[in-house]
Amino acid sequence: MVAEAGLLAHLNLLLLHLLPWALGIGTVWLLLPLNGPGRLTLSLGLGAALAAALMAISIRLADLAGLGLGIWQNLFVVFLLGGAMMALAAVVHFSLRSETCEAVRDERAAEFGCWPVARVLVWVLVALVSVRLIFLLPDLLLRPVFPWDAWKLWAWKARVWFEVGELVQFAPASAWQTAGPEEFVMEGVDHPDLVSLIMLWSAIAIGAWDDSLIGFAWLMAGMSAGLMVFGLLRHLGTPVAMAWLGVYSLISAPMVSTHIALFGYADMWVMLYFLVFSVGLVLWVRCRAWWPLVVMVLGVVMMALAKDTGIYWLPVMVSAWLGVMLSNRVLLVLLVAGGLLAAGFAAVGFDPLAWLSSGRYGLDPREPVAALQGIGRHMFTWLDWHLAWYLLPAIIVLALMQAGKMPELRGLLVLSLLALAVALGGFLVTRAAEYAADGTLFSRILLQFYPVLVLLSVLALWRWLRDRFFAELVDAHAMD
Amino acid sequence: MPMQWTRPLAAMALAAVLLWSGFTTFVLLGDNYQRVLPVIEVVPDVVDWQMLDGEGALDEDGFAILGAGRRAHALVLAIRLPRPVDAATIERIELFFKPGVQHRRMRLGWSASTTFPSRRMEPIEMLSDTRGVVNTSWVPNWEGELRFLALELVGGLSDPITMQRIEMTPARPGFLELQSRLLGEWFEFPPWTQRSAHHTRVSLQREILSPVTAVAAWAGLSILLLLVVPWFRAGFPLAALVLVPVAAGWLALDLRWQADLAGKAWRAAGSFAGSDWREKHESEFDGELFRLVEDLRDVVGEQRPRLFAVGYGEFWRLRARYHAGAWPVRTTDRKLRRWVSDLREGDLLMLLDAPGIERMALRKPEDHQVDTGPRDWSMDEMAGAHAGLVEVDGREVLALQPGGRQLLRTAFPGVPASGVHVAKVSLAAGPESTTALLRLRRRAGDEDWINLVERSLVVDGPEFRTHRLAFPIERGGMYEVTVFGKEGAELYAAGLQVDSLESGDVVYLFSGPPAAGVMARPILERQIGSVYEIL
Repeated sequence: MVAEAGLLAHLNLLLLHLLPWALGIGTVWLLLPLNGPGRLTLSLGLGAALAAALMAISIRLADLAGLGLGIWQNLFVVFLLGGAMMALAAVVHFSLRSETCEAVRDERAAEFGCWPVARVLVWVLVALVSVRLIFLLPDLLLRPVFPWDAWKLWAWKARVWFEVGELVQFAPASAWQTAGPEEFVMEGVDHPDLVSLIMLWSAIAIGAWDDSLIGFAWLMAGMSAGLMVFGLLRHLGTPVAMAWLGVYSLISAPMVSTHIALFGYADMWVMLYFLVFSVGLVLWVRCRAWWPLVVMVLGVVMMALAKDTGIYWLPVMVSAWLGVMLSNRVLLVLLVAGGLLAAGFAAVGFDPLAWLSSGRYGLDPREPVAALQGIGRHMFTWLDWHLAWYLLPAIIVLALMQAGKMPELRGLLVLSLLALAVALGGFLVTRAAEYAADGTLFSRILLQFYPVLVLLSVLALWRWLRDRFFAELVDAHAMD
Repeated sequence: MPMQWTRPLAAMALAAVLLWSGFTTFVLLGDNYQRVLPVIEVVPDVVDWQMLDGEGALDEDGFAILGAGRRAHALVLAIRLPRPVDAATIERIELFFKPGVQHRRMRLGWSASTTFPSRRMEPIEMLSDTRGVVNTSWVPNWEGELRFLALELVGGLSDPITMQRIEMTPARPGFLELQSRLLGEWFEFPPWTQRSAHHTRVSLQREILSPVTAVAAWAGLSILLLLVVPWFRAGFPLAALVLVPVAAGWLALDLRWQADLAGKAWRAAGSFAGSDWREKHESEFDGELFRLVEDLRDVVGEQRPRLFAVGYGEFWRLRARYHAGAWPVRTTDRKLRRWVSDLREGDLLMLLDAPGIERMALRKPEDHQVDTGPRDWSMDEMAGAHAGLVEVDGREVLALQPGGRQLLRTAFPGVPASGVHVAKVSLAAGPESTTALLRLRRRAGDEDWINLVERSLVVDGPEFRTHRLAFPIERGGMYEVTVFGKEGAELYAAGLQVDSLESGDVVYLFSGPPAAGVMARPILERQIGSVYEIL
């Protein structure tokens, strides 16, 4: 009986993740008029990202409507909401008939794909990615929620909701002495609820509180990111082997694996929706239509709902969007103007960072040397990212060389450089320096835009290989 | 293997040999090993640092050894090392204290046993007011795998001393030992820690040489050799020559990470497969705390009184909150005296690693003493400095006068019986609720008054309700009950009664006189912590 109940719980868990995913895929498929390689994987990846949002919003709606928390209530609302989304997407699809966005057709990529070495490379990469995912499963599905903030904030909140049976409010920690017997007090009440709601979705699916099974969605998030990287690279004309190289580069990074195996942090979700925004940005550069803007907005909104600091990326995203529309000359002028504006702010004593973060982070370079050492450890000494940061300068040089020929690559370059500058600057000139120094935050911030760097790296590498290396080899091959 | 591949491979092999020999030579030359080999730092830990003789606890400055009075023969702090350390690899041990220990006689102990039954001792040479050292090269019997260190203070202790950390400085390694340690680090796969979500490291301690740095240096030098020496290129395209060392380096690091993950996956499967949710938590690193919370559920049944988890270690008190789930647990590391008045009757107090909270078991009333029963006071006897008599519902009560706070005050000798008593005061407010402070003080002979217990009360509405506060009575002292209201608030007292409490086991919890403490009944006691019901 116990084994049967366990099997049923696992089936429910799987089903309650697959159903929203199917609704997400359908919506994306109808909404995005893509064509050619990458469409399916992009739809699968974006669909999974949309599904997580759908799950969280459904619980919130069911609670607001007084339906309570339960499998049937969840299914009812998720079908209602997902169905409405799909219907809207269908109406848009059939009425607006947007111009199809064709994938890049590249003969050299097709030719490269036929080489035996490319096929072997695909199988090797598929094996490496598969092995990685398989070895993450025991920790993901057997170990009770483990990392500090995961159980301290998000899993505890989800557990309280599950056991109380409604989405009760939490009082701030300052009320710990005075709060009544029924009130819950916690630190960080300003954190958004998305992560806890996603965990709660799993708990409801299982029908009991088992905190070793509430992290299934983190695997889905990792796979979703991999699918989007693969799909976008294929859409941009890279060969299958190079697209798999992108997936491998993403999944092989120890920080990515760790955040799937030791689920529970919000950074994985910020990463996912940062990638959703990036996909939207690249598609917008490519197609200049309204629907990539919807994808971009989805990414921005969900980042804000995933973590309180998710909204801090908004200036980066808006700047990147403006950046891809402007010429290099105008960008340079704006950069100089921005520098002068910053100097002006400094002169009059106005702190834009404090204003943007509501006083949480201001210009406060209290320990820049210690921060720099901490940043160096994360990037170059610890095992967080393998060789990624050693390779990044070369990647940026390659991307700069290729960006003029490929606007999509330029878009990714602008976004990557802005994100990197904000991450480095933010940790050097604010009190976040202490987190870099003690090794608790910086790599989690890098995680949030790491997939964008992967996209940039693989695309830049492919374009360089294509023009400088494969051209010679293909010619030599043809002569043979 | 085709002949032309051997040249680029030779370049990569040469790069590896150059780097390895260069690094080894650098470490073995002069005192460079002191810069490269990491010092092992041992910091206070709630589980690993335990007093064997005497009392001590973690606080914000380190591990405070509180002592057992001047008459104690010796105080012993046992420190379990995070992992066993080969004694031969350590040449010096430094101990860091808060100022004030220079003239203490202290000895360092060590043990290779897993149960710490016996240890060897060596005097600690105090170099300054905060630092002591033991040079192990002079110490006989410094051998084996160290599992425990110990600090022994000879004689008693009038003032607490605080140890902040221990540093174990490595000895000069031999050639083979260095290679063994380098290789050992590459294949060291530590378990997940609470910091794993923040960064990934080779070992729990700082490593000698980061694999990432080593591989990056190797790939970089390989590429340099391939670029600079034409013979190595053997006609290969530049792109391939650049990419091969990078790919090989990435793959090497990733295979190492994969092996690490495989070990972690194996451990997870071994620990958790086939277990239900409760069994998993019981076998977790904080299984004892999980069982404490589960047992507490059994003890209190369906009730969910306010539960305060108190401890210096944030980790433990928050884990207690997590394990309690939908039972609203409040957590704090503040000194009890700062908030003891906010505790209410029926609240539960979970003491984890709570430094400075002392527990005094109370004597039961002696049989030969005659309990004369409850004692009442007349309105005049108990009127405070700012009280006036008014008539409410046909009876005389005390009312707080404008401009003052003291509504009720009366003193009485500690008779008829020593033991646990309870003060019952009947209070009412005006139409709006207000707060009051009920306090019990004690004075022995000519000494100053000492606050024994105090409680903040919410006085809700015009109906008189009885508020209770338990306190300890010792024969021979004078006791005083006071009730303070908020200035300008309506507050009335209709009566005061002191009665003995049929209490069973009751303890008085306090964090040092003259601050107030609280009376409590122990309901659950485990090694990880104890739970008390507030009286």
